[in-house]
Amino acid sequence: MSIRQLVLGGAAVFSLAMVPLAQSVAQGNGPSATQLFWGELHLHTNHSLDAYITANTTVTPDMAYRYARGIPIQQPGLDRKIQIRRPLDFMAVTDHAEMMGLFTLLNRADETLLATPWGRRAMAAHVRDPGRGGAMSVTTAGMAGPPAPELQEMMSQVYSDAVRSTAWSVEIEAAERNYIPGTFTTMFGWEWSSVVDGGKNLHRVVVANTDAEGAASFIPYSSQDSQRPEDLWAWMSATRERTGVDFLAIPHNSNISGGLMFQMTDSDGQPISAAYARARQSWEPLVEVTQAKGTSEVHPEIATNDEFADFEIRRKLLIGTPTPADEGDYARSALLRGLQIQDRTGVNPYNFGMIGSTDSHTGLSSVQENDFYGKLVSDIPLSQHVIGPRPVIFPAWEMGASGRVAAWAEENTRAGIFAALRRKEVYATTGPRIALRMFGGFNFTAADADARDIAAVGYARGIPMGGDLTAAPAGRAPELLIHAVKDPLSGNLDRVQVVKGWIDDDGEAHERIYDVAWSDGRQKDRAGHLPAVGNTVDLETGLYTNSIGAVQLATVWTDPDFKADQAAFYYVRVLEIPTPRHSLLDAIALGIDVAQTGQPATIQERAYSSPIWYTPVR
Amino acid sequence: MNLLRLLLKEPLTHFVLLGGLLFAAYSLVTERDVLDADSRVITVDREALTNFLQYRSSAFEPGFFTAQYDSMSDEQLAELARSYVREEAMAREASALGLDKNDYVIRRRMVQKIEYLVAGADLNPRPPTEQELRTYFEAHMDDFRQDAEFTFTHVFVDAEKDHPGGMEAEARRLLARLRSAHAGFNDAPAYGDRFPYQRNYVRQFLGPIANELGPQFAARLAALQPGENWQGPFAGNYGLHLILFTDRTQAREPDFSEVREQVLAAVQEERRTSTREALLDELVDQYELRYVGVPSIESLAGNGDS
Repeated sequence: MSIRQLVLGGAAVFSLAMVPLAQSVAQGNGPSATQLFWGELHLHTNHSLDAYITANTTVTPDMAYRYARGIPIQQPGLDRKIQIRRPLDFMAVTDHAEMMGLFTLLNRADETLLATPWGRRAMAAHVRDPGRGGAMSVTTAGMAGPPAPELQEMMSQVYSDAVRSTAWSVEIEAAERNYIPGTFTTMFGWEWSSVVDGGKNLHRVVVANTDAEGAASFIPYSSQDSQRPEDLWAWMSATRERTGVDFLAIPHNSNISGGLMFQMTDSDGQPISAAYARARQSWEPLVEVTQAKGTSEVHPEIATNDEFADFEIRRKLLIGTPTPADEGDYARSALLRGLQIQDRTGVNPYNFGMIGSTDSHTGLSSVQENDFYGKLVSDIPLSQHVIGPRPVIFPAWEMGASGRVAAWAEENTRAGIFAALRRKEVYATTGPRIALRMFGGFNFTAADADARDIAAVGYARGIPMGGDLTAAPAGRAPELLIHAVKDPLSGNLDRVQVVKGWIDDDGEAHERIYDVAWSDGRQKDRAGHLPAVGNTVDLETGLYTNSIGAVQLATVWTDPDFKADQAAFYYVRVLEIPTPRHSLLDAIALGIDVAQTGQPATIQERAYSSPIWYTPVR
Repeated sequence: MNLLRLLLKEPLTHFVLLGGLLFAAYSLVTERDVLDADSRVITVDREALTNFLQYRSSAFEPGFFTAQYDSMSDEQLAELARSYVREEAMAREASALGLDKNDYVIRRRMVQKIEYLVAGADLNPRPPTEQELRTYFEAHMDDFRQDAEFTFTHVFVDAEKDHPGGMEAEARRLLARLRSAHAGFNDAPAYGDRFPYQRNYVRQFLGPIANELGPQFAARLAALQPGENWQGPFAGNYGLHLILFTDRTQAREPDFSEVREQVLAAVQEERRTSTREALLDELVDQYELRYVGVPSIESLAGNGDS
């Protein structure tokens, strides 16, 4: 691919160019003209402190966008140029707001910073030990929450509004320079990195719906301002009031929140109120459920009947200490808790859609098992796996090559993508570009699964993922029209599952998983269990074949256990056939036993739809 | 010796950032180097041992380890102190004996620090002139060349479906219908089976087409001429395709003005890279190099003073 393709845009221009024709052939003027766009909403560059000290000194926000667009860039850690295989359609660079860009400001001897005694001290420390300690010792204070009194002076100098604005303006310029409406959408974002209670992760990515001028009208809110999510929402609310800029906050790594991400209580330990629930559902309509630090859909010790739950599970907090399975950590149990809280307060705080992104700190958005650049630049040289001390908290092989956010949007622009995020017509994959449509309604027929244009049928007679159903007609149960298509460059599909959660008349939460479409004509056994699809991965070569599995699976599924007076949610999980995990490919390259990686040799990549909810009539 | 100093230099320590090392950080930046004066005194106190616990576990969370420390019995504390004292004494002795010299791991660590300094060098190189941009553009034309683009719609016959008389026969029947109906570009969706990917490919490059329809199809397409008639059937990854191939643009070299922004970004990145190279060259230039029976890069290039 040449640079020119970026100008007009590789795969993305194709999607855009499709719009007029697709619209002209669509049946009616409905939204079936939504196109599938692939994105990244969680990526760090050398503007994030922790990225910088883990050897990402060179990849700027601008380079990160250019890489995602398909332009070759100089790879950090290795002396060569690299180019993404398939450009993305949209992206937000989301550096940590806390002390954002400090090292890069020191590198260029920023005048505002050096005009202060603490800035000069930071500079001295930075020069003494540029890679790690050094200025970080100054900045440690910055990521650790509100400063102790004796440090307030330091903060007022190295983290002043002037310094923060300078760093943020670099992010704004990079996003603006790389925005090509219709081809590549950049969004303004950052990470609010709240950690409480000794290492429990409450991080949120914040995305703003605005242009460069709007983005310059505020300074990213950081955990240095407050560690409480309620305060973040209050800031978003006040800032929207003041500037007209809309925001979303997207929690991630709930799996390592020590049970705090999806509690039954607010930050003060009070039961969640209707007001809290309303604020949360309006500011946090999405959750990032898959990324390098594991999946947060479900934990095998919580969902003991889910044979696919043991997938990329992370059992350590950010600080490396072990963390047990907790219902407050996982999306599925949170969706159930949401129904229970809705039952009590009338409002569901946890009716979120699901997305994936990488949280890579390399500036490189990479998710393919066979083309994975790791979470940290220090992971990139393969030799580090076997030579020298291995990192204990984030060993490269524990990290997942995941994930992606897929958006069904009417156009690839800031407005188009933000609207899709807001209405939750988005979904998560663990990397592969599995295309997934899901519609819910009461008026589908079995033949709709064979329609040439599933979307036309779905939009005409139902609602897409992320939406709500109510008032089931007498004798009817919710029907889901589902169409899943494999990534042309990845494994075939094993099966499509519907995950249903509901609460019974006593307020008890339940979940059940239905296999609703699968490959190779397999038969369920007497107990209703669908046999495994098989495994074609050659552990010697790391190759697999698509001789099993399906290219596409489509069905209309009707809930067989429906009760019209019980609140429920439904989401779809699509599994690929087993393919080699990146750690297996490393083991083969290094000539070592895959067991030494401590990771499974193969994985079943997957997609998670955003749910559709059924709420009974009062 | 302040073990915390070491801690803060550990690569993993960025997670500590998220914990509460406020005071430690504060004292670290304010204190001076004090390592040599009392080098024969090892102070064993609560701070030293909780730091030791963290470092040994490679898990950095003061609260967690303070609690662990406080819950230890006197016997356990004494045992911990013994390990700490031994490690500390060994480390100091090794240092005094010069064992840190000629150690490749330590050497690499020091080199890494220089690499950080170099990588952090000025990232805003002198802006290039228009003439320099044009020169770069002409010298790197291959990077900016525009690939050929193809526009077509297609009707698909799915290999996984049962068609009366087989897939080939179905494709021929469809071709006859398409031709007799003079089906246009936007009539295609009414024919054939559901294709898993796109119906229309508009101004698309061959690579993405090969990804979705198969390399054999892409190779056929590349050899075809656009026209107003339906063509095919052509085999793809998932079955047969009949295509209405309406337009193709040849690969071409763009004008400078079309790609100026991309050229600018490429030049700036190249300059940053070469700034780093120049810094390392300058560093080496501060040394007198004696090549003994070994060629230097410069001598091979014919412009060195061998």
